[in-house]
Amino acid sequence: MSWPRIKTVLLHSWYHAMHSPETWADLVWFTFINILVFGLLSKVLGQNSQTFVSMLMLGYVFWEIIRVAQYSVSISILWEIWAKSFSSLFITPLTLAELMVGQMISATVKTFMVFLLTAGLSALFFNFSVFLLGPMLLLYGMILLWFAFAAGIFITGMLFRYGTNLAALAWSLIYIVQPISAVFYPVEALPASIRWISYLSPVTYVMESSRSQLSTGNVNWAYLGLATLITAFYFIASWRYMDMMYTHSKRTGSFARLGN
Amino acid sequence: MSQAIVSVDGLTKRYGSYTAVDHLSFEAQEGEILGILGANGAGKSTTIQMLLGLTIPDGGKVTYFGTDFFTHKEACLTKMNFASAYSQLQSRMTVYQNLRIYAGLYQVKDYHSRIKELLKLLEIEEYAETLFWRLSSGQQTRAILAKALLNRPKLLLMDEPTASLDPEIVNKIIDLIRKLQQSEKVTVLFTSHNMEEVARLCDRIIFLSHGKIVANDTPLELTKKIGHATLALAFEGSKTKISQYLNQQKLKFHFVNEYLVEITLLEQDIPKILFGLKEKDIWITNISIEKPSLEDVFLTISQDKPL
Repeated sequence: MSWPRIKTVLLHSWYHAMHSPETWADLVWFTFINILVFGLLSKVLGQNSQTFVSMLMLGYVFWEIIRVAQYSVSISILWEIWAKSFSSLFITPLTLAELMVGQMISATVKTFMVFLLTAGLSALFFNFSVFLLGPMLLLYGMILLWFAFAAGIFITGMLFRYGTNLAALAWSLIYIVQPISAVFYPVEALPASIRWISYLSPVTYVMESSRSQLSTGNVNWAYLGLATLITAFYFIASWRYMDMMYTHSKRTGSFARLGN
Repeated sequence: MSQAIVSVDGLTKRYGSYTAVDHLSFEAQEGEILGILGANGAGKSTTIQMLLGLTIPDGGKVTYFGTDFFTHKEACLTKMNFASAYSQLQSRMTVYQNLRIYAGLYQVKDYHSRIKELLKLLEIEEYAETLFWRLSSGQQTRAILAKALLNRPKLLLMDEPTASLDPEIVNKIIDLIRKLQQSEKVTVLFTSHNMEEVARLCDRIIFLSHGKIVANDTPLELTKKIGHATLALAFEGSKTKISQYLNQQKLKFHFVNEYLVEITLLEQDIPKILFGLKEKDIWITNISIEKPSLEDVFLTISQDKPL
């Protein structure tokens, strides 16, 4: 793994973002509008109950970590495919691992920026500070970030395998996780027969623990341990899947066609 | 004896029951410009993709600079580069930014002066800060060439690099490749559909058909193998007399109009035929000889005819 080449991937990400209004719209504009709508809606539905507003805002701030990080990892490959510059990148000494590590670092920076925006807006307009979670916020954020990386890497693998036919998954697939992960409501809100699915998602543990911390001050360490293990499993499995699809597409010739 | 920069041994690629590349073996020496030609579906693109590591072969070995490519990809790719009109740069970056990125990936030292040098060489200095998608196709091709030369490659793979360029720029690029060959002993693997360009540039050509090499020689020797030339004669006199004479000589011919006949014959037979026609009192008013070209070789091979 070459650090100078990873730095170059970061520079690439920066140069690209400078000339891509869509990136800023996806990252900043939608976030800004959505948080205003979510905040106002929670005030109306919760009849100005601060607890209700806080729970929804917490869910939204945490969900944006997942959305932005996953999107940033997956979309970078698509930009190269759309520009027909995909092949050019892969015939340099750059390795897939270096590219992905670079994209994950870049995604972390973008996610941090969006997090500051959502945290700032929710504090400013809706009287909810996510920083009430204290140092635990870092642990929650890390689990969500790595889960998002796993999802982004998995989608990248799918793009290698199925090409741009599945391009829309780069920004939509992650939403399959949202309704089953107790993001805006507790697991109990789900029908009893499907609650077990919730516990396959590490996001559920983070959300349940953080809500519990906000309302009772207690951190559910068992939940956080499980979330870390499940995230690590998903990350390793996703990486392995991406690697397999990368090799598979090179064997079938579809990898070379992606760039044209 | 010069060192083989590229050595391909038994390279094979199958897609199901279809064999795209069939036990391909060839070498390219230091400083050699080797043309790889073939009709669509001949296996040319698959070969280039395998040589670049974009497609994994089913069998065979590729060695660059004496090093196995598939086990030492990074080391090999550092010393080579690729240019194709179809493999673009990132459209949402300026020319300079694109080159800066590739300089970083190839870890080019003193990249700023190298980029400036190449932009000047390819006459696109004024477009350094222009977004790639805003360039004309000719300017884009030159930017891609600048990318291909960034790391001072010892081996350059060029897949139709001059497609969409006007003849003046094509000439400049051919001159540039020749200069690189002479001054830096760069080895070039070159594909193009422009046979004139290939004939001018390549020291040697391999023709692919059905994934196999069917001809491997210099452009001159390949055209010699075609053997026949086309003799076009404008004449005054009887068409019947000419027909009789040419039939006697058992030559293939056809009348373009009442005063012009085209004859297919061996180059060395031309004087004999001209002399014979004179003896039959046929007055020749104009003579034109079309020698076999690389295009004839290409067409012959594409139609699965022997050379």
